[in-house]
Amino acid sequence: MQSSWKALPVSAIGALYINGIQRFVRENLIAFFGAGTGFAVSDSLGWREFGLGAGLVLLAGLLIAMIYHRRFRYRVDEDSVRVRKGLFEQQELKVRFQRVQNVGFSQPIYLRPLGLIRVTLETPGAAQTEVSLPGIASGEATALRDLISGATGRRTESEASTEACDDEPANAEPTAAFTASAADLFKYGMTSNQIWILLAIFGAPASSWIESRVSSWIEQLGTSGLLDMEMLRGASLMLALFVGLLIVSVALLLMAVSGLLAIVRFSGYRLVRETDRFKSRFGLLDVREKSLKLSKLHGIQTVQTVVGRMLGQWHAIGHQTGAVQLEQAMNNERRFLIPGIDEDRLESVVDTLRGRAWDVPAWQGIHRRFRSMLWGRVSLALILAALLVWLLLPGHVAWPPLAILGLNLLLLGSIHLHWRRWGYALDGERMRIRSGLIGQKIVEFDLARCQQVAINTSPYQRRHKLASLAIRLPHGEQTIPYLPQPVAVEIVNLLLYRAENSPQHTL
Amino acid sequence: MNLNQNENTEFANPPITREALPDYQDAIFESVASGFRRYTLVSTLIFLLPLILAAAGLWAVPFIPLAHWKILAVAGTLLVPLALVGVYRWIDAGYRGWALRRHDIIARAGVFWRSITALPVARIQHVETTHGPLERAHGLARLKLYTAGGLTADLVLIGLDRDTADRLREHLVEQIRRRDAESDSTSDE
Repeated sequence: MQSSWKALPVSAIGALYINGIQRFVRENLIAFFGAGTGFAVSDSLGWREFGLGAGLVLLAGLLIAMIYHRRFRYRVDEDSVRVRKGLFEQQELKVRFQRVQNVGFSQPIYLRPLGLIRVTLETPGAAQTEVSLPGIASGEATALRDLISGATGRRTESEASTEACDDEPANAEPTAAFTASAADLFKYGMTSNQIWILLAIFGAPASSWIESRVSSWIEQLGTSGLLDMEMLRGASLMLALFVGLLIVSVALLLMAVSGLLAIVRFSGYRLVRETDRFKSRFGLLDVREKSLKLSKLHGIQTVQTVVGRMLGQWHAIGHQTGAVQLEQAMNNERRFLIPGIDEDRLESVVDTLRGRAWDVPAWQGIHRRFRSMLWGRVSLALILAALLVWLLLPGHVAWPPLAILGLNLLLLGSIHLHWRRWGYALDGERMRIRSGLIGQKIVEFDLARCQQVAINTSPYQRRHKLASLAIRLPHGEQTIPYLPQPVAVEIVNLLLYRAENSPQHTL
Repeated sequence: MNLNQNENTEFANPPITREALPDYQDAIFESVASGFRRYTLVSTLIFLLPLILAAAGLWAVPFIPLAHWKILAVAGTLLVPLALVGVYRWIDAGYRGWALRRHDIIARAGVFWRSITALPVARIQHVETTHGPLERAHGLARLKLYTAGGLTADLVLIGLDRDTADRLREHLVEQIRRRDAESDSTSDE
């Protein structure tokens, strides 16, 4: 391959610029909010100053993008990629092909007319050592990918299959293991937890806006004489109904928005299985291509959320090695997500991921003291609260304590459901853990991939010979509460045995 | 070493009965260094000292218009929990311990909520020992073990004596080095 330092194409400056501005805005969102309120409050600062500031930022961004482009050099050698970058201090990164676990392609809408692709080389380990080429010609990108998959394939696969892998882009698209239609994706968006994030972002401003509108509207009605305030006060039931309706409609609206976002994000989702990897391709505005090497796949998670249960929707996540960081938990870039799986196709998708048929395991439950302990503590707290409320409220009104007791019953029911959902299944090499309340989450992992095990006991657990397990996996921690102590000990011994005997020393 | 012999005969996969699995409970735990108890006491006192001095100062200075019982109450609400933490750490020092087996390192801690954590040596990426000034004065050190992917230490053994910590570190580093050399030579084939 060519082994000289190369610059990014000039057209990539635009991409760098947009990317940089996006990141600047995203990272300083809070500061922007602060500045926004500052502008709103202060009289001396107007739109002119705001425009001036924004213009300065945009100009500085352009300058930075140009310098960054000027100083960015990359070089593809026989077995590695090297990147030199940095605005003020020069940084040089080198990634050996063997270390690359994933070649990510991403083509945002503004790169499409330029024929450029952003390439990210993911390596196990911290996110900041990841090498990314912010915009190279698409032909070069696929060549690079084939070179890397060839290099890593040689290590794991025979030469023949490597060649098959190389020929691949020229061939017609292989049959997909899973495709998601727009309807599937819409349903996924509605069921995904993204809705709570949306609610958090838009909920507070929206509710204050609605409140101000409603109160001004009521005032208007009051002053216009169409409606006198006395009548309105009488109709408290109507008001409650109205508020309830409002909440439901806002929730439905958010779900619809979330569904649409999912369509935009995952549009045309295709999952393809190749000899040694999975590949997924999706996106409307930002076309992405992700791959997941079979040898790096160490955990499979299938999730059904509460809403998902009503709609019969699941999604699956292929876990691969990577630092568990807050940043990643928020943008989920590294997760290999398969959205919008309906109940009928779940089995086939999971089979594809596992590479063998999904046998329904005999779930082992956790000890029933988990339930009785929680029942006892929650009931004690709430009954005490109800008593206190009854004693302290003037006139000894009956309904608030009764409401608390009703809540108690509800909690007891959900504790029962939660307890019943906990389950694990061991088959010597792999372990499956199920948890949830109304929805459910099933995680399956190789015992050999465990990184650390902890046995935790509280005084209550020790009295009853129980223990909780915390298993640290490369993607995060997995717990099983309230196992009988001998069982917990046995699982720990097995985990350690498998981890210490596995041929993959590190991941 | 033994581990890699297994690796070459990977396809022989004899079933392991439950009884034959090595039990982590058989590991012999070493308690923390003898100086650790004193160290917890001294470090708690160092935390408490400024508070006690401040309370005494307020008490002694005549022109501060604060009733004595108020000073006592404020100091008490701050001092009592801190003192309890000190007592907890003192008791915890008696239970805390660690064990090194050929393939893993195990730590235990806690008084009410007890935990036993086992970390396979094969998963350790990097080892370091650190000691603050107070620990140094007591001849103590802590050993931090890092695994792949994490940014913070995955297992920290506190209250080792300096010599033990250094020897443990050297031992683990040697194991990691040997392991990496072997996995490199197998992957280059």
